[in-house]
Amino acid sequence: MLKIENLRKRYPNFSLSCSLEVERGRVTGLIGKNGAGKSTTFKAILGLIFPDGGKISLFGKDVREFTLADRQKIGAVLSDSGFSGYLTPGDVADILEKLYERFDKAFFAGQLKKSGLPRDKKIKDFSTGMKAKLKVLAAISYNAEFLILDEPTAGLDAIARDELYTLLREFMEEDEERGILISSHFSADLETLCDDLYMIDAGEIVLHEDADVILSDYAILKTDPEQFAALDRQYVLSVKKERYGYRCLTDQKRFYVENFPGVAIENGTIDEVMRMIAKGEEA
Amino acid sequence: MKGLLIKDFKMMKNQKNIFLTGAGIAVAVALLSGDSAFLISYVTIVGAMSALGTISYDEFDNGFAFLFSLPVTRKTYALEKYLFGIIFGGALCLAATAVAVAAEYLRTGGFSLPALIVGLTELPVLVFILSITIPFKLKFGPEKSRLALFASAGLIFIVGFVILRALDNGQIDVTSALTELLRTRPGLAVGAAIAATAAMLLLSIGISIGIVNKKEF
Repeated sequence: MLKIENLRKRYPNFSLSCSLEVERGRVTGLIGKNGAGKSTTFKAILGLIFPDGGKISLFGKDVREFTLADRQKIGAVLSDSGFSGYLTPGDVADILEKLYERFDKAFFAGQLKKSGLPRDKKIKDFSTGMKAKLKVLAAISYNAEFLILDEPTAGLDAIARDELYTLLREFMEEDEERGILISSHFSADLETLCDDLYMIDAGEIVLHEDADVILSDYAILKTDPEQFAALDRQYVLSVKKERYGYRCLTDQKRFYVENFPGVAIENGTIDEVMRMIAKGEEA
Repeated sequence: MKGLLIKDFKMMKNQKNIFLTGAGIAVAVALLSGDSAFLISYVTIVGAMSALGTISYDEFDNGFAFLFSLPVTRKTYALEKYLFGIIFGGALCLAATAVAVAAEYLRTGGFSLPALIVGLTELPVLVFILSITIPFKLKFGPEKSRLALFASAGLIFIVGFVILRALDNGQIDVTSALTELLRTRPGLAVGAAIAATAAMLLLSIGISIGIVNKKEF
């Protein structure tokens, strides 16, 4: 569905070099700390910035050749940008109706009501959470095929995040041909929503793995110096020195569970894996 | 285009209190002073400035990024700003002219031809303001565009002054020549003014599209 091949963008203090893919019927997560290159990647897909090199194709077509009809198939949520604060959700509905042939006004109105968003209040007077909800509601209201969501849950509490993820799951269940690319700070939430995950650090993709595999096969090994010296490190991906010894990331939990019963082993979480890959040293 | 126009009209609607206050003051001044030219010029300029203000609202809080993620081309966005400015400013100009004519009728019982002429001459002024300001707004943003506009206005004034001075030294009296043209061939003079305004508008639109096409958000 989406294919990014060797996308390059250079800024004075940052350079992005990224390849990734989103398949139809899948939710793909892009995880990385602030400034890692998530938003730059998203903006390149949406044609908001001009890449220095590489190719981005969506629905099998180069995004530089997109027509308005192609753009109607994309639903976008940007972390730091949205509808003008001087508009109301009611205004947004009228605008979307003119911009999108397949805009479902009744669905949008229903979701506003369900989410407790006032139709006639200016967006600038909304709380951060209300603004975030409105952005997502707008993006899923015109039968888009592909959602690109940059930090859609920023500013939301746990309950609101759950509600939003439920909306996204329903969106995917309605049509198996749809796809989502989503980034978030709340990696733990992405574990349950995403089918696969990309981790980006300093402008480069450092890991791509199915979310299930991360949860089942990745683990953190906590070793003292003696255990570390004796450890078979062929499946250790990165190592970080700690006060007690060494913290090691592996993608072969079972191997260490079976062969090194004395070593403390913690299940991998996306946050932990990301931290180890970003801050650990290669084994 | 339609979606963008609706967006801008909605933004204006949501600030109707500011307009109503401004309109009330303008009408009161016009009725009390009988100065219809002031009313029409003031309202037209307010209309132009308000229309230009929508660019600032679009840009506020990095709004351009989201706007251009919608099914809107950069070219359409630039064109829409001119169209909205002309529709909104033009409507206010015509409304002010109607109020001025009505006010004159209430005061004297007669029809005010001068008010109508002022109203019609304000329309090219509106296009002129939009043509000059929109490229600056798009290029420099709300804050820096003001500085850039002042600097450019100063530069145009100096260049104009130098040219007029040079023509003066060459014994060519531009003011007299223009007055003479207007007196002897008013059709040609008005036609030339309209053509010059249209040319300026087209040039400005071309520049604006170029600016938006090059922008990254």
